Amino acid sequence: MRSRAAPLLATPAALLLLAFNLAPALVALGLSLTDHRLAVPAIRFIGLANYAEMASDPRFWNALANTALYAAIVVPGSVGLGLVLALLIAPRRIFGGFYRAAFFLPVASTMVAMATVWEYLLHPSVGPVNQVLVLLGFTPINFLGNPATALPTLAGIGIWEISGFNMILFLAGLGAIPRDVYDAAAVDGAASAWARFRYITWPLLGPTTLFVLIVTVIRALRLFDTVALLTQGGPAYATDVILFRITTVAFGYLRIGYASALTVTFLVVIVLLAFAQARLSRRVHYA
Amino acid sequence: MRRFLLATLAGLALALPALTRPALADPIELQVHLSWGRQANTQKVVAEAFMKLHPDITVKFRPVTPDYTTGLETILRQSAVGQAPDITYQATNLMAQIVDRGLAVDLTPMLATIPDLGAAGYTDAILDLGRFDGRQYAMAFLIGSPVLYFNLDLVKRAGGDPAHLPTTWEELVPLASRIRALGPEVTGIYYSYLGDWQFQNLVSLMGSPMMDAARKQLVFDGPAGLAAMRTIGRFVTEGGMRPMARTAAQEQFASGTLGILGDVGSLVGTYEKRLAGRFAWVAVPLPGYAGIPSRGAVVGGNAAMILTRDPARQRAAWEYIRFATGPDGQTILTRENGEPPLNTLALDAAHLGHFYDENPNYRAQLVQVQAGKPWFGFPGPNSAQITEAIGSAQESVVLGRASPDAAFAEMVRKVRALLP
Repeated sequence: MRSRAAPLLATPAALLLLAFNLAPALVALGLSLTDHRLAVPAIRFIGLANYAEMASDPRFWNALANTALYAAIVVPGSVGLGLVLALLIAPRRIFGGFYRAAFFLPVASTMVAMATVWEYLLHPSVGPVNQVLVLLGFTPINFLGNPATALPTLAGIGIWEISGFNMILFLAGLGAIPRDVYDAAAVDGAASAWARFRYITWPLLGPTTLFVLIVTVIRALRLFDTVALLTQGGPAYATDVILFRITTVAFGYLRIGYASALTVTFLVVIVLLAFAQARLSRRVHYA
Repeated sequence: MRRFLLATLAGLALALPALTRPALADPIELQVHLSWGRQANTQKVVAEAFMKLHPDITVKFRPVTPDYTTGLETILRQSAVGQAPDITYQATNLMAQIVDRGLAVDLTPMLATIPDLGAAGYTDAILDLGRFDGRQYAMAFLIGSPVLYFNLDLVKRAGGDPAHLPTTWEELVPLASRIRALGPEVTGIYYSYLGDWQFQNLVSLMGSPMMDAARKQLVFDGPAGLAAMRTIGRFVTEGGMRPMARTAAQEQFASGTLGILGDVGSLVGTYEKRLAGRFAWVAVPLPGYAGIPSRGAVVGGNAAMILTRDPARQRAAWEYIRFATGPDGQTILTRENGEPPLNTLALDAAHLGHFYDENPNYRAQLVQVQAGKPWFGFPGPNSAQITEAIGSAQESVVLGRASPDAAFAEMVRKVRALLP
């Protein structure tokens, strides 16, 4: 009886997964093999031509490189900062809740409103950040207007936004480490804070760290909001990341076929990362 | 036989209301789509005023798409699956995409029912904004133009005369340069350079269209385009223009440290509220080039198109568009949104009256729009990439990566390659 009920109970979830995840992905895959343009009835099968175009499209490689650079700054930055914040806050009895809320605030706030604040803070002439720089004798920096600084600036905003979320995850991980392990270590002579971190906290946090890492990588690869709100991919394509490129191609150029090819490529990368997490987490887990 | 009789009677009974009453009297619910968020409230006021006069027609708004490109994409997608609204308001420079796909209803026969267009308040320049190959496919509703905003306090401090602002770019650039010299936090000028609208304006002020009338040959690739690009170069080297987003420049003007801002005229309303009592400012039409007859400002905005294929719905939709683009609708537009009325009757005493005497800063757009030229949309499937290429070339000058002459040559090369 039970064996017959199981597939029956799983059916609704399976159907939803099929309708909202698998089917659209398959449609995108199909469209990526065509020259479909929005509302142009004539649609032609062109095989892998879109993928060939992608390989020689400097805008695609530029977007890919920008996305990778953004992730390379944001992932270590926000995972590291999240961990440090969690380690500092976890032992605090007083003010612990306050700090937790304060650092979590960027996660809970809407990026649309925050982007306006950042644009003002970083303004090349009237922004408070540059006024402080001038006061200290530095030359002002055109953070979002200079192609050399625009992407690192967005990465800074990304770290500010994601660290609080990672901190909460690390706090949960720290809470799950049993107290008596530390007591046992103290008996064994691991007295310094560094030794406790190196031999107990860090290894036991392994599964949490891996999870945080993968989630942050995927989040960094999906960068879109600050680009759309603050730089529109500019200046001179310096912040044109993969999702912004897909949006431009699909809704600006109306080239659905080529945009689908970009989407499928992006999807493959994300799926590979998800597999990597599944494989790695088996090895990291402390049994 | 009896069955036949019954069927005939039933058919007659069904057909009777339609025969005895005019078709418009049947209640119709019009589905209207707006492409641009900042007009949503204005459009609601227009619709309410219209429904009071036409109780048989209900105007229902579909969810507003925040910007024009999303608006175009939404309509193309909905049309592909037969879910198009009856009316859509589309950007004047993107409408060609809908016309080229055969989705827009030809309004020429409906327009022909108006015996005297001039007496109805429609000028040829305004009608021209919705014309393609001699047919009327859209009726302009909300049209604006770029204007120049001057911080008069800075102008005065730089030795300029607020009562006699420069009327040519040749006079303007030295003033911008003097304003820039006032201090490290002060910028002389910012002229919005991303996209192609503002560039098209400079070309038009040089007396040139972008392409010939048949949309086959480039025209701006000569001296006019080069002069436009060199003007932008001078903004950077002499006026201290810096690369930043338009919104950042708008903020800087509001903070009182930007001397001259060249941007959309619709900021007047915002600045009237925000800058009251802080510093003296004024909005004026774009200057010209010394000794060169201008073609007029390049104006853009949105226009109403009919998409429904049903004749009765088309009639109702036309009634609504007539109202929205007529004196009453356009009076509401100017009062609520600030853009100039496109119907000349709206300027009479019964409608806007003394509005422009009381609000002189709004006049800059009125003057330019009345004599405006349509924002040109490039033909073919790559029009969005062409706009982007023009924006990128200007950006490379603003970033100091290319000389105006080199950037212009590169722009022309790219645009040629993208044209059909």
